[in-house]
Amino acid sequence: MRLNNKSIDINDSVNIDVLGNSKINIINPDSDIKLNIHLKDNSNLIINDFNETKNDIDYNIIQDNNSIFNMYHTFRISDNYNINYKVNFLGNNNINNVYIHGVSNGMVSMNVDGILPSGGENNIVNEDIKVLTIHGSCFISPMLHVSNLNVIANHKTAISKIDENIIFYLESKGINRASAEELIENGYLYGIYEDKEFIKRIRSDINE
Amino acid sequence: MLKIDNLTVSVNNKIILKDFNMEIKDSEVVALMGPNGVGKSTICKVIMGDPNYIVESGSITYNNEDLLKMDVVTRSKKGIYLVNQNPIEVEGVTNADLLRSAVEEKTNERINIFKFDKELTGICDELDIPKSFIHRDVNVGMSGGERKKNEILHLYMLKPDFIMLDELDSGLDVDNLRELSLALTKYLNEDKKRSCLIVTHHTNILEYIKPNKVNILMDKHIVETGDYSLAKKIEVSGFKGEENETK
Repeated sequence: MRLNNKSIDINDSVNIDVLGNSKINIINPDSDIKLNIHLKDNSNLIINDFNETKNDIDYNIIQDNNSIFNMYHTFRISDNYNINYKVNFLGNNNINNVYIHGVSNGMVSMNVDGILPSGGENNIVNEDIKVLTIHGSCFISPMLHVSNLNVIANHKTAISKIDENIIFYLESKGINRASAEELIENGYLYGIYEDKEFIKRIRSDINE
Repeated sequence: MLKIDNLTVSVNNKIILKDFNMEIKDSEVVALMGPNGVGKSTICKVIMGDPNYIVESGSITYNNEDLLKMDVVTRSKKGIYLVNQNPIEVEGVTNADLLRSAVEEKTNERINIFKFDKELTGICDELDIPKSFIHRDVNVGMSGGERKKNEILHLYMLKPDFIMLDELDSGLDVDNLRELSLALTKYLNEDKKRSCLIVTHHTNILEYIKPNKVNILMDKHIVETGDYSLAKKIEVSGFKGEENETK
């Protein structure tokens, strides 16, 4: 499939070549998903992905030159859930920002790989992964394999329980514990999306 | 309003306050001063119900009710409010989210969004706070002064009766201190029932919010009580000078 200046919803595995400025939205897929995405020169792709099902997701991203990729993925899971994310930079001057935030009440396993091979230069990759384990657990393997010249590569990974200092702060405003936990969870689930329309769609999907 | 009798408090097995006594009546502004590390903030945390602070003995009554039997949420709903010294960041939760939840719990009713938004923007105008604060994550990326302004924004929406200012002046520039102090004075004067405990080790804030009473905390309890002139004396002699005098 070719995606050129379009916004689409995806509910299935697919191979996509991206040109121009495009967006992919995924909300609670019906089955496991494998996405092979190739960003061609000068393309721009945003992925908004929300998941409360136990269906796994694999992303395989390739970026050529001067492309920009932003992914916002949140989840709230009570089962086993696996996320595999890999980005491979074939060229130069690319930007790749990955935000994965979620709540685990089950068992979440995540591999997040950024590969910047020799021969490339001036690429930027940022990984921001944050998981709240309330009644569950999480395993994250964040890797950056860097042989590029002049690269900016950051990763930030955190697995935590709810911060009791935050609970106390919210309770001191008169918010009971259950509501405080819900506020914090919702922060993990909705806080990263820049696309407010997508948040409305998620909430509407949950309420159905 | 608030009466503390022979209170002994520990944290991490260390006694911080011992046989501490203090009373704050309706409409009173009371200052609690003392050198760094003597336990001034501790008393605020204990009144608010921070579980890290253990009350070993003594009592606290609030409007003739046993405060120590109440959990944090109940204390807040009864009108107790703490302006934190270092307000914490709450990522992913906006001021609007927090205040909506808090107001709904206080009133036990679903809020009218339009009325809520109107009140919130009105308070921002009154306090000269940017309206962008409303949809920002609570205290995230805010300077110390902005966080304190945020706490006052929350206060105006939640309308408490007993306010504790835990070193409000720390980290505030002169202009911000004056603005926030005037906003608090106005708030206190709107209802004669409202009282305030100001915890500080400087007299700057007391220039704007004049206390009825000044208490000096040293050696785990209050060693001297006076009026505003006591604070001015501390400004000259320092706490060490005052300690020598009380000995």
